[in-house]
Amino acid sequence: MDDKRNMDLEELFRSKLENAEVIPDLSVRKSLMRKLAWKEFLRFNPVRFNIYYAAGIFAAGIAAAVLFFSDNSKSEGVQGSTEIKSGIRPDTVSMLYSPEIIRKESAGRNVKPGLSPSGVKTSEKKYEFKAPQEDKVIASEGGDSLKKMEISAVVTEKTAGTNIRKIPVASFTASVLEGCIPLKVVFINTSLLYDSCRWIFGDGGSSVSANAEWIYDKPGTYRVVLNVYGGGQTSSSTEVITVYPKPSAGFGIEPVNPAEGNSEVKFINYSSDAIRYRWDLGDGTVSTAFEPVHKYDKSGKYNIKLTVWSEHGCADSITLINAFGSSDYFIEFPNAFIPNRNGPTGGYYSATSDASAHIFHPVASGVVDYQLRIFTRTGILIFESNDINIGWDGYNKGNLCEPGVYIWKVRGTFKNGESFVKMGDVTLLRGN
Amino acid sequence: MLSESEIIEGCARHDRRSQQMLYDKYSRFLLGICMRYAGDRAEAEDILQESLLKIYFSIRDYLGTGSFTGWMRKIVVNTAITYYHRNLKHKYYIDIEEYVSMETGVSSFEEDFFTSDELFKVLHELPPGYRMVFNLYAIEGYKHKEIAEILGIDINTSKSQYSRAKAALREKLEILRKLKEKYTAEDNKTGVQT
Repeated sequence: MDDKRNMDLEELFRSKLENAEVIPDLSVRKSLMRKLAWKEFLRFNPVRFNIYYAAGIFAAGIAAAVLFFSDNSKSEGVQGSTEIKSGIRPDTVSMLYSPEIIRKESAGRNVKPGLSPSGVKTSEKKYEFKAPQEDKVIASEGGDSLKKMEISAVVTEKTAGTNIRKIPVASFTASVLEGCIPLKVVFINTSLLYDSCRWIFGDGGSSVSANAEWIYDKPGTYRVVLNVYGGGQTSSSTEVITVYPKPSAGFGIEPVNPAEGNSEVKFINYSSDAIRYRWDLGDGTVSTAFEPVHKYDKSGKYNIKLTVWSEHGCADSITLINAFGSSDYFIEFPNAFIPNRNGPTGGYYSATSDASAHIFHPVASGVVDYQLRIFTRTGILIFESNDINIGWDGYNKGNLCEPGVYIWKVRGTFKNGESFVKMGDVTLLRGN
Repeated sequence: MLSESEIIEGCARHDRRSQQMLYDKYSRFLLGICMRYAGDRAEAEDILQESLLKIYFSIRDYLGTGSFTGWMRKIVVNTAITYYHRNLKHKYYIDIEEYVSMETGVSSFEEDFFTSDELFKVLHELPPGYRMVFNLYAIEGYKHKEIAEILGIDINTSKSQYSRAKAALREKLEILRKLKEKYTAEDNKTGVQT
């Protein structure tokens, strides 16, 4: 024991590990050599095969292929004209440099004889001479058949071109052309010969899918454009969609708590944008008056429903359940809310905590079973709650949803066993 | 086997055989360094490969002054530091004050009680930051000021991490020692019985 050296921590590690050797795995050597070979390949080195050689070979290959194919097309497509050209070439050359012809031509053009034509002029002449000379050659060589060949070659080339090029034709149908907000329209693409398309819905929305579905959440007139693309061409088709505003139904009762039996009740209409009204007063009485007055024979549980229509036939309705009792069983939803922008809150709310309408939740009483689901305008489920104490905080997977209209659907049962299913839309507003 | 200078000269020419020879001659030594810095063997082998590629491609920069192994060691340490920085982004180590100063622990060790494998293992159990500071200070001999610059930390962080690293190592070695003594005692017992 005594002969063993004692040391402190640093010394221990230094002496044992400073020059410690560890045998690497065999695979390390292999993978290193592979990486090294690759790096060497990428490095420029005139002696060894590397990427620069490979690129050179590749480029040479491409060039060879291009040459080969262009030669092929030439000999196949314009065989006739090539022959003719080769036939006239010596003539053209001799013409260019034959002073006689140049002088003749200059004379014809009223250029003073004796002026030596400049280089530019000669080159101009080159084209002027060529054309008649070619004709001459064809004629003199009795090249009628050759000419025909040339023409036919040109024709086949042209017809082939038209066959390949397809011209897209845009057209589509819309499921409805007008309707009430929120208006869902299904567009079916009936275009021909197109590769891709783009829908522009007129309210800032667009889509690139073949058939489209869109929900308009603001009243107005929208010009829907479908552009289809194919073969380098564009074609478009247009349709106009009109979206009418929805009226809003609302009423009050006077007096709020009528005396038991035989009392006259006046209904006060708060509806807007409506021209037609229908009151279902709960005891079988129906009225179309603006503000009806009704006398109930006996006290009890009356559900009063007011339905209103706008000039375009858009409807809205509101129901007051158990209008005169201490209503025990009801569920109602707001039509807008402003999510908290500071982040998801989890959706818990109470009457006092959600005074600023950060959570979309019902006002309800006597609900036992409950399921609330929120959908986007395209029908994607983004929120679900089975707890009436948890509403939607306006977030989906931790991200604040876009402002706009969302569809809610609720189903459940009241304490008295009565089940309810309701559906409607809610507007998510952007808070500040 | 070629000599060191022949290998260096061959690698400078990118000669394949010399490159392989350098690997065969020095990889064990270099992996030993990597093992101290890495969190495990796989990481160590990654660092080794990266370092070797650097060595192969910058061997022309080795001027021949100073030892070749020292030059390579420097490259490995630098690669390990780069590797540490790169991987730091992905790992979240919360620097809890978990190692309360354990200076009361054993401060003297027998040289041959622990094997280097055991010491590597103990090092691997340290948080990466502690391990870097310990390696750089205790073994490479950097000053705290230099370490702070290299790792981009405060000089006091370097100092405190170093003392915490030491405390943690002591604690771990103490546990290891007890385990080892227990097993050797058991071995001796069974040895007597048979």
